[in-house]
Amino acid sequence: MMRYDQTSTDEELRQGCLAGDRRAQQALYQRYFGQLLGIPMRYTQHRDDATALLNQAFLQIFKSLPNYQERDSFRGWLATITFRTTMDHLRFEQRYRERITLELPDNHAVRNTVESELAAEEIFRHIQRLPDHLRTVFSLSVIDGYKHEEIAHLLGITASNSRWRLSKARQLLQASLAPFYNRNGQSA
Amino acid sequence: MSTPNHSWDADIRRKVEQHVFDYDPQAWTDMEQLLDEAGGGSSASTKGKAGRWGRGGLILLAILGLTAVLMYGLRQPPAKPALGAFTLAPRVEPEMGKASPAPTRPMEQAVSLRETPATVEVPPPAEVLPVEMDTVAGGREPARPPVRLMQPLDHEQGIPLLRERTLPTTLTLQPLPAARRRRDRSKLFPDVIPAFQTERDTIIGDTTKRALQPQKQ
Repeated sequence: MMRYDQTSTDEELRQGCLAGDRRAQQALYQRYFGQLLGIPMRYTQHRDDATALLNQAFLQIFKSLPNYQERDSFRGWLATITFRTTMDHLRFEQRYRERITLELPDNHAVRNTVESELAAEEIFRHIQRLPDHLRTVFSLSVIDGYKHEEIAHLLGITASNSRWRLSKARQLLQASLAPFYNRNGQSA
Repeated sequence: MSTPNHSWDADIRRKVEQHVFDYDPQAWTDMEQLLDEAGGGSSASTKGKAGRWGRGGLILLAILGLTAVLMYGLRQPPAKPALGAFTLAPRVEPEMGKASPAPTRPMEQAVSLRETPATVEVPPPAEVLPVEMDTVAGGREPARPPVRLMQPLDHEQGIPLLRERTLPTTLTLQPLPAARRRRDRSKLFPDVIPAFQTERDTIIGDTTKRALQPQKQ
């Protein structure tokens, strides 16, 4: 009986998943859970929602394994499916409401540097606190590197609206991260 | 994009992309439920193979059982209705020497829905005029139960609204002719039409005369 653990290669896990081995599926899930969770985390408001989205993405991954071509990066292929699943969910939910959950800052100075002491999970937490429509544009533009024209096509908005949303998101996020910086621009 | 924002964005992006979340075992539990609902989530499943055959076998057994029940039910002859719940009232024979009772309609004979004693006291018939069925409007034939009136009637019987004998045999009114009826307006309006005709002839006559007269140059 085949045994799957951390030493198993991606190809072995993939073959096991193709054979329908639940242990291979679990091993693959466990291996890429932490890396792929960041994709839905920056597009949802809660971790539970992000986990549910990731599970949907893995379901799609297991179904699409026969279509994987070895010349592609396996991790990149997984990330692409996860990202598309997240985008499909966003479009389905249509969470582009103008809902402000964070108050506007009182003219805080913009910090340009993020020290390494600032935890990434803290950044994720603050990103999730953004309004849905601002968070989506911020993640697409700043983290995933989409252009405003592409974002406009993806979300069904105008490019100028995308720029405005990014500006608003950046303003709110910088304000919410301001307490983590001291006077010299270093995190607390 | 301005330089300060660009560096800030780059830092944010780097930290977000490089971060790896901790594994959540509960997430795998939820994932397993999804996989079970989706049937394994792949083209073949070691757990699903046995499960698939098991499910298919159960379905096949259920279908066979249902078919057997249906066949058994169709083969059984229809059960005869039980008649022990009620019985008809016993026929009462009139006593010898006494006048026969007034004819009553058969449907007036009460059908007792419960068992009646063997001997039934029949009240003496009241002195009433015999009622003939034919003279009653809308009367029913003795042989025909009332419920039949609700059913479509045979073409031979017709609608028994009136008895045939009550209808007159001859009609005093003249039937309308089948051809198109023409109104005789002179008879309808004896004062107007002759005067109109006279005036019309006069006008036409003048017009004709004028037309026939050569035009004066």
